[in-house]
Amino acid sequence: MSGHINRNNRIIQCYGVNKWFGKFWVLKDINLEVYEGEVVVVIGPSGSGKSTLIRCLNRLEEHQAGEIIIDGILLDNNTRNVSAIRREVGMVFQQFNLFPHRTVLGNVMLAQRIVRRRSKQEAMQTALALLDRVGIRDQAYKHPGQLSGGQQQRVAIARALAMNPRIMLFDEPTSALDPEMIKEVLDVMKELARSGMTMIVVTHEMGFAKEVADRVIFMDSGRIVETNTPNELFDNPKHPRLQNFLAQIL
Amino acid sequence: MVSEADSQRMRLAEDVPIAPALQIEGIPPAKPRPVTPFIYVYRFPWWILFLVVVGIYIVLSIAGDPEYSEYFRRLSAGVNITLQVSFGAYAGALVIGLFTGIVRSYPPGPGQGLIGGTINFIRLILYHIVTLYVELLRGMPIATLLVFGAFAFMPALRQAGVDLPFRGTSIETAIIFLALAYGAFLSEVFRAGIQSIPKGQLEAARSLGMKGYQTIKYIVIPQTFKVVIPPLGNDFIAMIKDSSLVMLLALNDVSQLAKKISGSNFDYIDVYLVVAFIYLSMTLTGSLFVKILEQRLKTKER
Ligand SMILES: Nc1ncnc2c1ncn2[C@@H]1O[C@H](COP(=O)(O)OP(=O)(O)OP(=O)(O)O)[C@@H](O)[C@H]1O
Ligand SMILES: [Mg+2]
Repeated sequence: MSGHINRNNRIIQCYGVNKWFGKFWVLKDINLEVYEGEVVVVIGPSGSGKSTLIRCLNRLEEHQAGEIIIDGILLDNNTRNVSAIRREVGMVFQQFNLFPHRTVLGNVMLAQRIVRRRSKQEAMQTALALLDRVGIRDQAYKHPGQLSGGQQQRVAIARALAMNPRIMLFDEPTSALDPEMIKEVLDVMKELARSGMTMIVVTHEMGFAKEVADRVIFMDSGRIVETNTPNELFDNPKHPRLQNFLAQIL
Repeated sequence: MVSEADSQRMRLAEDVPIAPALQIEGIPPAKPRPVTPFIYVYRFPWWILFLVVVGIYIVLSIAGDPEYSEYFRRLSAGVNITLQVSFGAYAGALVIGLFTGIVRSYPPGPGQGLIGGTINFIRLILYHIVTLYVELLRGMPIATLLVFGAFAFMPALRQAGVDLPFRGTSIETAIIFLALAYGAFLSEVFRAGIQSIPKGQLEAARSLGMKGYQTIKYIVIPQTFKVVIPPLGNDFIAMIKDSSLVMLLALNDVSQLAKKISGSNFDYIDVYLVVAFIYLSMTLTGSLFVKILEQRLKTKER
């Protein structure tokens, strides 16, 4: 439990969101409100639209019907709004997607310099402080290819945090990692949740969901089928498809 | 020249302790493969040694033979033009190729709103002009292009009242049309390089709030160059050779001088031996330079 929830601020609002890939209906009438400081975990079978949902929140994918409002800004075709929202929303990918031609420090500094327009010194200080926070300051001058998967993912988290986002999206951040590296990444995410960050996390790590999530959302074939506190959702699933899903993974 | 970041990295690399060999009773410990000096026989770049030795031999025989020396002296007068044309046209081709390669890599869709719509419509027109350019120029013999440029296009421009500061059959015309011809090739090289960059790189850049041009400048171009250095080097060497086509414009490059000298004394064998030596000195220096560049880029990242 993050315990910093501000129930006066619905920082993410989705109303009647629909999306199609060609004829394929991926997101069906998604309604979702997330409070500032809340940690929401999204679970569901492969292909149920989890990634697509969170990618719509920072316009990596475009929704075709319904409204998405992030921190009071309507997400539409207005590029100014999209830019403003991307500045508020950080994202961490399954495949890390670090920039291989830049050092760890360079990865964390680049967007600060050219998007936030910070001075070199300020960007460097922020970067080193964040690398310290995720526990890899001593790797600052290496290139991503020289790091382990867990270290790379922690750099990716630091890179996103360097933009001072108010919301962090995680798309299966530990799915590409060897088992012994999963914990180090989850620990960083737990610390982040405790610090009051609003987070939406797509993951198969049920332990993490039980420990950290304020709310768990179960998606199936493009719909939010059930949403509840982790204890209720895992111990007392109502929808038969959720019962079925939990039976398969637990 | 070692930067601070480099020295830091080296120090980090040296700090890594070497794990002691694991020994299980009854099984003799694995011995490291003995490093014999024989390994250097396999690592040594023998072909470079061969070239250097033969090169020295040729230089000495040219210097010792008054006839060869004379040919060399007269042909060297053309090296200047050969190099000017090669470097000038290649620099132009790089700029054209990179620009058109980027345009061709991102075909625009309909834009949003009045401004976005207008910008994307202009981009659409540009996209098709660039595609037309690449497809047309790629399929044209370079000799045809040069002759057309020098004897048809430039005179036509002049007749239309354009005040050109150079003649039709000039080094400037040669550079412009060679650059256009090679630009079409390099465009495809760059496009292939750009397409080899994983989509996740662009998504990461977008999610960090970078604009399109920033993503291209800071993420796409640096990674593309690393991929395309070998084919670019290839085309640079081809350019040195193709610069000999400027003899069609009666420019006194190495090839044109060779034609003149051998045409007057019929000593084709000796003249063209020296010509081959001069071209190989330039192309081999070029390929060595490309190899070094490749090696540097490789060691910088992993
Ligand atoms: N760009 C695309 N074009 C067409 N179909 C797509 C595209 N991206 C995703 N899909 C389809 O949309 C559906 C939902 O994909 P999505 O990636 O959101 O699922 P997911 O819940 O994240 O699954 P996973 O657990 O495998 O990551 C899938 O059936 C997928 O094949
Ligand atoms: Mg997914």
